[in-house]
Amino acid sequence: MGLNISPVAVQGSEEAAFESAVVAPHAERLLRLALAVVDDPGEAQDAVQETLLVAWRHWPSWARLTNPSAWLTRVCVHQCVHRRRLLERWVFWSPDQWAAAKAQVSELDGRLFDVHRAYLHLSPSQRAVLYLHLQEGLTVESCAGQLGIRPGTARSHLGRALSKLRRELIDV
Amino acid sequence: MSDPGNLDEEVKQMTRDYLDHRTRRVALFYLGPRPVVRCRQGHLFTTMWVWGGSLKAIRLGPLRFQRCPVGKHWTLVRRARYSEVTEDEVRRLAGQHHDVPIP
Repeated sequence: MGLNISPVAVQGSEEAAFESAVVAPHAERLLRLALAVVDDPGEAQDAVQETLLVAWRHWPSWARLTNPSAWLTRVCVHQCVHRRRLLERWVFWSPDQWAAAKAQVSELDGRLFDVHRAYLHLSPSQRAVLYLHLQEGLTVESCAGQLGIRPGTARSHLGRALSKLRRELIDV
Repeated sequence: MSDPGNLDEEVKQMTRDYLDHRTRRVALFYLGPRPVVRCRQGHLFTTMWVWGGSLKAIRLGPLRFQRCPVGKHWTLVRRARYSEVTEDEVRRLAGQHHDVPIP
């Protein structure tokens, strides 16, 4: 996956500084996280773009953030949850969107399709913890720190997510 | 999935493989720190979009009535969804069609 930075943003030194401090080091990671949490790639891209806009609004106080990476993760997951709720309320996909979703699923082989089926039943929080733990290799405590939740809550999300996946895969 | 001792590790590995597949091959074209909006005639430009108040636009919920700098007309504009903006449009947008920097 490549991250293509369009030149549209480079207007002034502040925007260039924002790009090098926020966009370049974090955008690709945020996009992967968003893709893990929401089901529609377009929604994931929108969630990241929105996260970057929120970050831009906080840019004057950016230096005061103790952990910018965790802050961005929290904002991004919040955006994803918000979008997922909207999608659940308004599911009016165009025929093209349905075709793209079907094509994405049909590429999965049999075993991964079972994981996919179970994954669709996970909540956004469970998906976020699962992704941070399995793909970014964070400990449960670090996942909790990134998401701004208690370690016990993160442990519970992870446990429930793995239990759902396990059940689905055993039943096959 | 018959050995219960390796079950958790196997589930985790399959989930990793699935997440690898799920999160690849999507590119992000960074649209810049200003929201991209589209007017009813389809023109695309960036603007200041500060929630709560604005001086140069009439707010109508998620829409705003303001002047389009591309078509030079007054129109309803709405935030462009990322998925609706093509790479070509982003490139055309680069360095042009920015609204005046007043919310």
